[in-house]
Amino acid sequence: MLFYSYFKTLVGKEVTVELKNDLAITGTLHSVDQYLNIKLNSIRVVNEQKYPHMLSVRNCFVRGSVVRYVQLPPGSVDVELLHDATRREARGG
Amino acid sequence: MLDAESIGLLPASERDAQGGPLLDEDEALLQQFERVQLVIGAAADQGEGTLFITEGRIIWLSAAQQDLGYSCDFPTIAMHAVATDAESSQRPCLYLQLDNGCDDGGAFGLGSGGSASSGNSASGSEDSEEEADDLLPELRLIPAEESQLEALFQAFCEGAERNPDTSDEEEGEGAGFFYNQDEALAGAAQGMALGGGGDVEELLGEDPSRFEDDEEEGEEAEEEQAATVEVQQQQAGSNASGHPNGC
Repeated sequence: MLFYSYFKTLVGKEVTVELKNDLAITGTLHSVDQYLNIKLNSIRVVNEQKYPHMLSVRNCFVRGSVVRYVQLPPGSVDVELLHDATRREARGG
Repeated sequence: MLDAESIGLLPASERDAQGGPLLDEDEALLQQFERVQLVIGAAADQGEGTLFITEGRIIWLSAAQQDLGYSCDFPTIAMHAVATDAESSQRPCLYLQLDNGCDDGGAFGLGSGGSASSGNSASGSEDSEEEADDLLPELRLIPAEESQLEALFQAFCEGAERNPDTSDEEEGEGAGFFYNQDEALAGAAQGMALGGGGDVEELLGEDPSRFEDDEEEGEEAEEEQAATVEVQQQQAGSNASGHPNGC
């Protein structure tokens, strides 16, 4: 549940979601669920030329299992907090 | 013929006696949306039809053609979105991208034989690449009534939530995570320095590089070292009884 809890703290922030098929979408994180399905608002596609039909897309839902990376805004990442949480989780705590 | 299967769309050419979709034994129909036009890829317009939502998949059946239909299970749907009629002249629709897990160079399963994902590859199979280029794994569902869009979007959200990936293929929470080993070890060492105790700290002890792969260690090096010792013994004492130590 670690990443679910972590991403919930980022709701309202701007993130870029990169899918396993190389599509990258930047938008405001609207919500996330336990499967790390992600809803983004006010999106823009990084590679617009390849997906012209996405130009008029505003809000989207991305299936958690197809996400490769979620790029986070640097200022809003508390690295030590994340380190502590991952160590605890790794120890089964 | 449209190679819809290449992007994860299965043909649904049979119907039940009422003209509805042929469902599996335990499959329950949850919703249906009338008068929904389906466009596959860039512009392969399939015309109007009815969209059926079941627990595990969607089924679209053409209104005009009784043997034309497609189905797609929810895990194949990588993302979906409402695309409203902004600057473009396209009608408001639900836009979907499919990902059937075909790994041809990281792209959407285009073509065959792993050509470059950017589509700029000049190597071989030019013909199949051109055809495949026409079929990006995109779908557009265009309802006759724009007011249906929100309900459509919600239906797909719920479908995805009902159908998470099973963990049969993975070993557990750690599976599928990619990480940089050097960074991970550096982080562990840093954690020690920050006073985060625990098993890792005990194991690393005073040697943070303990778990790193060291190319110079290993069986070959050990054999080399043993051989070196043996040579030294032979040189040192030619009268030795001559049993080398345990090679």
